[in-house]
Amino acid sequence: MSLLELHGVTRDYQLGKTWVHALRGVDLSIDSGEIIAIMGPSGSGKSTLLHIIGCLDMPSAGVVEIEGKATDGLSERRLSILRGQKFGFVFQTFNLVASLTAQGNVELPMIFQGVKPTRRAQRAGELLGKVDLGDRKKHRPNELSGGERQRVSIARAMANDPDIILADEPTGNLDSESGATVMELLRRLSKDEGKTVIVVTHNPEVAAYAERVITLRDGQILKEERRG
Amino acid sequence: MVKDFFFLATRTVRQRRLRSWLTVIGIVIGITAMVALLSLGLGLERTIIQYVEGIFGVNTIMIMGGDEEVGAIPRLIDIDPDLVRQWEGVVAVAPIRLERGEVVKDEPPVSERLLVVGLSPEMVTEFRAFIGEFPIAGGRMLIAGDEAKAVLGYNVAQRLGATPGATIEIEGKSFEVVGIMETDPEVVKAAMGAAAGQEPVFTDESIFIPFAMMDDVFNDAGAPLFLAKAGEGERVGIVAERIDAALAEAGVADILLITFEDISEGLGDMVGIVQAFVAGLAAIALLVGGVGVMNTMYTSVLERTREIGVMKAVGAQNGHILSIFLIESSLMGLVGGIIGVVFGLLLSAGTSLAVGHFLDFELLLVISAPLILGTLLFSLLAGAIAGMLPARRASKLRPVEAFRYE
Repeated sequence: MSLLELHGVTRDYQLGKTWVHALRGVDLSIDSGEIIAIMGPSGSGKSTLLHIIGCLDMPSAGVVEIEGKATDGLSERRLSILRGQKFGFVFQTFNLVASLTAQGNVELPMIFQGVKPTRRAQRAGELLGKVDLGDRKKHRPNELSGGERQRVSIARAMANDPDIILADEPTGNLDSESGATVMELLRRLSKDEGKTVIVVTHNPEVAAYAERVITLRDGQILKEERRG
Repeated sequence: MVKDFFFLATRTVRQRRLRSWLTVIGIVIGITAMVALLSLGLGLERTIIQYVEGIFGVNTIMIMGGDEEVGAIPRLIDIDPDLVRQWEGVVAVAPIRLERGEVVKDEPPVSERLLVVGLSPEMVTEFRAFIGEFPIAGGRMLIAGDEAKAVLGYNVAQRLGATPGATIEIEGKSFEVVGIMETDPEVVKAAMGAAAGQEPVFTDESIFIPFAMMDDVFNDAGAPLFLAKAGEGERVGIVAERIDAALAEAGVADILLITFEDISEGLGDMVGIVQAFVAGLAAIALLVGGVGVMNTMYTSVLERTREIGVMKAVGAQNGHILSIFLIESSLMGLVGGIIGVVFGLLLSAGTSLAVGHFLDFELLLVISAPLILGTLLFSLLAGAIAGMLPARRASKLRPVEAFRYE
């Protein structure tokens, strides 16, 4: 059984007066521990696919199965719990909460899982240490560089020790050096901790970290290639 | 977890400090108005009751002939005060009766129609609070056992040219003048006013004789007003009921009994109506404040759409988001409430002081714990209610839509 399976997933939504067919029937199977890159031009449906995988969005038709269990029909509450426990998100624009310190941001996912404050603080400290920001715990996002912010959000993604890390253009707003650091971190999560990492990107350098590259075009999978 | 939500909620309030304060001011105004007006209302009520208590006396029972029609001259109640005095729980009885009568003095010859007040000496000794001071300028006040004796009001004495020891005739009966009252042009004696049917009675223009003599001088017997005093430790209401029953047994019907409790109850009702009206006005102010909170919360939700999306992405449930926003708006209500209570109390204290200073009237300051606690709870609820819709909207936000929002 695969960790994640998508069968005939479509996603249509209305934007103003026009209907956008973001996904037009995607079948996909993802195993544990893989690093996968989803590539494709703008508007090809990459981000929508990532959102649907991460239960941030639901398909218009088709089925998403996580560890063999279909997500359709789950209550909003169940979906929230699933997001909180199974997935960690890393965004292009970081999406850190500006009013919280680095540590506060890393603790946030744990708050919603009801983790005790002392345990939370300890884990946030460890995670920030792992991303090499042990001395930046008390800094707010606007006191950090782009690369540092993205590392905070990787630490946040790891907060509840999820199985799957979903990264939407994680290097899109970073210089190449910071980008490389971020990608190296994601690679290590997969190699050392067995996390499944799914990265949406249009940057071939980023895709080079992946073991499997899925290329989307017009909401459909154009090609899938495995790399050594 | 609630503590964390509390933290997450207060963080925004602290951050958007100016806007939060401006919003809170809306609540502060409403609550200040409410607390000040209600406190002043309570103070006024307490002041009036204390004032009435002062002149009426808590253990006094007023027995009046006739119905409750205000301004009507009460009918005479023909019952012997000595009989009433023997009833259980009654320690003192004082009747009072007012009539107009022809007063004549031979030397120098003067004749005038004057108000003749039949007063039992107990009225002065036992019901001093009720009847007021009886300052005597010369001679003495009427005492128990006096028969054909009279005390003259100051103006009357001047016009008649009478001094203690002089003899006057009232309706053809001879009286010896034993005392002259000091002038007291402003005083309207409450008891006499009641006995005369709320007509102003000036002591300067009156003649006082022992009540027992009234039957001889004027036709008819009895008095329109008796004051009775309940003994120490007696329940005034119960003594009043007993008197009522005893009077009925003695064949006296159509009696109005009034106790201090009745009066303060009536005043309380009256003040209550004023209070309700005033509270209504304050509630409108608070409603405006509530709309302000709602507006700020909607703006807050809109501004933090992305943040809400992030929180949902990292596992926040709808209920969590709802709680955070509700705590935020309730907190604004509560903070507004606390400041409003302080301002409201200061305002009512200031008003009390100003009234005392400029109007020569002591308005009591009442700091009521139930009012304060009730107001705080109310402001908290107002904040929560105002935040309900925006918080619901925030909680229902779909994460993907939240991210798409710029």
